[in-house]
Amino acid sequence: MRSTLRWLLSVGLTVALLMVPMGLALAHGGVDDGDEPEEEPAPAASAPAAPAAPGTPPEPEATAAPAEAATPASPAPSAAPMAEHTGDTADPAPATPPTPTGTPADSAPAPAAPTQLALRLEPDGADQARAVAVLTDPSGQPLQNATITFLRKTTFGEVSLGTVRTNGAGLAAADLPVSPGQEVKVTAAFKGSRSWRATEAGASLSVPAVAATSRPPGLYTQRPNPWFLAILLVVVGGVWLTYAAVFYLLFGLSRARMAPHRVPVPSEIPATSD
Amino acid sequence: MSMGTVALRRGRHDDMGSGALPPGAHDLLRPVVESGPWFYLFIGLLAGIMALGLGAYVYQLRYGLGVTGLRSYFSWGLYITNFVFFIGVSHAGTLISAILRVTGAEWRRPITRMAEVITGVALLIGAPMVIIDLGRPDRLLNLVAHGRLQSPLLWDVISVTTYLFGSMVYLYLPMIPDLAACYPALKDRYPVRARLYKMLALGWEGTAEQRRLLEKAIGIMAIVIMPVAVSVHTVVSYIFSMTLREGWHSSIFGPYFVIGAIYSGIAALILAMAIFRKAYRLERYITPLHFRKLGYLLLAVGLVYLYTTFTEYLTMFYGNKEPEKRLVQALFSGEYAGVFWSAIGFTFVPVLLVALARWTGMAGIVFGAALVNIGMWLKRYIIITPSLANPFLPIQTVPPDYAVYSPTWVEWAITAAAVAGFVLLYVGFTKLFPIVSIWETEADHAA
Repeated sequence: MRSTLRWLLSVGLTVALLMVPMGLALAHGGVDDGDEPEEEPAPAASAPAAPAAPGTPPEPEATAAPAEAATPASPAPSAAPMAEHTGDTADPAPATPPTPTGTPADSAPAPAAPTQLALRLEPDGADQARAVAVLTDPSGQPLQNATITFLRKTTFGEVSLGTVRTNGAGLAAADLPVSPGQEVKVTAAFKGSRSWRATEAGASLSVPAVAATSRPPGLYTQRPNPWFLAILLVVVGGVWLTYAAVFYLLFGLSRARMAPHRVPVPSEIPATSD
Repeated sequence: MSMGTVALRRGRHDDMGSGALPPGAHDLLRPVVESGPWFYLFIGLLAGIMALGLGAYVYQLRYGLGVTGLRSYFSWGLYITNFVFFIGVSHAGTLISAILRVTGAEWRRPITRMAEVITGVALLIGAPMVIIDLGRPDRLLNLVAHGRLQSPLLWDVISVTTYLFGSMVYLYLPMIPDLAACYPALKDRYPVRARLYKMLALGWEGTAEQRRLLEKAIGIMAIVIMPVAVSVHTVVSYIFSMTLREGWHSSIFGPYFVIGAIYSGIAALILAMAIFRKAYRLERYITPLHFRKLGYLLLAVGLVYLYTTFTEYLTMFYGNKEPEKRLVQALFSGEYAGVFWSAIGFTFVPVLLVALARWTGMAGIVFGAALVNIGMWLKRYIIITPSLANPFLPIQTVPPDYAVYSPTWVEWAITAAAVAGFVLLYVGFTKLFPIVSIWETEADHAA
């Protein structure tokens, strides 16, 4: 009973005393629930691309666009009966070559036709590159409005660089942050549709290393101060030597057991005179 | 420093095998050999939480640190908070146990092993937090390939490793006579475990020479481990104080962190004592005297910590430098006021509870200790995150999620797994070895 009362007293006292700081906190309205600060306009160029956020659809590149890209380049409905989109390369039913119009999502059922995806990585400055993918049909016609996913290989898996729809030139691009001296591997994948087979392509880019620039001497020391190093070695080394001494004592512990009882041999037993 | 003799009683049979233990030791071995259904349920719960944390870590490995709330401005968050917290708690054992041993405080005997185990387990849980915070664990190899001794981060690695090794040795040494006593008592029922005990006992027979050597080894370790323990949390504080950042670059950080570590360590020890006293029925060995003595220590260290905290914030507030002004405003009345005042309340209300122990009793001390542990975790968070949120150049022209640190489920899951792992390792130790030192306690009772 007494113990319960003491518990109640402790809890009550604590709650009463905590009212003071809680009151202060509430009075200043500052419960940290992750309130966002006042937003500032973010220039599109400074916002880093989040791994999971879809990238911005690229502007069509005038120099790379072929003449036929002026027409909407997407798979068109086909008169052939719909085949299951399994991604198999072997399609027993002959398919009418699809004309590059319309969108993959809007196409009427048609046998899935193979697609071609070309990926290239273009450096764009010391710390930036672009992954550019071009999706075409077997005849080389670009496919418009196809969803391309860009993935960057990491040590333990992959990070998404974004999901982009191809433009009139069949082109989709995503920003790729890089660092000097890196080997970057990117995969572009088209998941496919009822009319077009899935496909993917990979590419790698070696970013050349840059020589380290010299820094102002107050902000950087190439080597630690020798006196500092000596003190560190003496102190840390001394501690570890002490540990070694303790282990030596432990070794002596096992040797300091009682000597086992030794039975004397007959020649050691002194002769007794009767 | 007396060790007493472990009396080997031969010929007495009981359900623990051929009895070879001093009287009362069976109470201390009961937790090792008996486990109820609640124990297995509890272990299952802890293992489940750890599995969740492990899954979160694998998810983080797979998709990168982007799945956490860490961003360019908030490079440190919950993981480093956990690291500093657990390293702080680790000061419980070795420092308190060593100081009490060197000063000859005989009342310490039943609780020294509890304290020493807290140190070892806390270090084993706290140290990997840095690796989790790295994101890519292979970057740890950069320490070897490109390590720079000018960096406090490398000093931290050296000091934590030295402390961990020394703590394990200091935990092991006083266990040797107990391991030797456990072997004959448990060899019939637990032959595999008993063989482990025998191996670790190093042939202990209690001879005069062995006692002399063990006494010497424990004495050396007790003295060496104290400066090592102080250096560990001092070096952890240097990671912050050597950085030219408002809220961190402060000369008081070294002693501030050490005092805080001792404070949270004593609180963790009181909590462990209360739990094991109740769960393992150790009322005969862990008495209200222990709670009272540690309560006094908690009160004294708490007052010193209150003093250093007051000094730290008064200096920032009075100086009124622009970056510090923003930080103080954020802490006292801004977006971090809730967490800040909660940390202050949870950390310092227990000082009053313990001061009024005449009325609150053991319950007040234990409750206060629990509050201290929560408060000190919040305090570590308050030291780390608001300073990152208030750099010299205010955060601007970034996406909203870059300007605010919001821990995600991944970080909370790993934090929960760390706490569960700490408890699991601790409880696991109590099931393998007696948590109260048999030879020290029985020698004390015999005396």
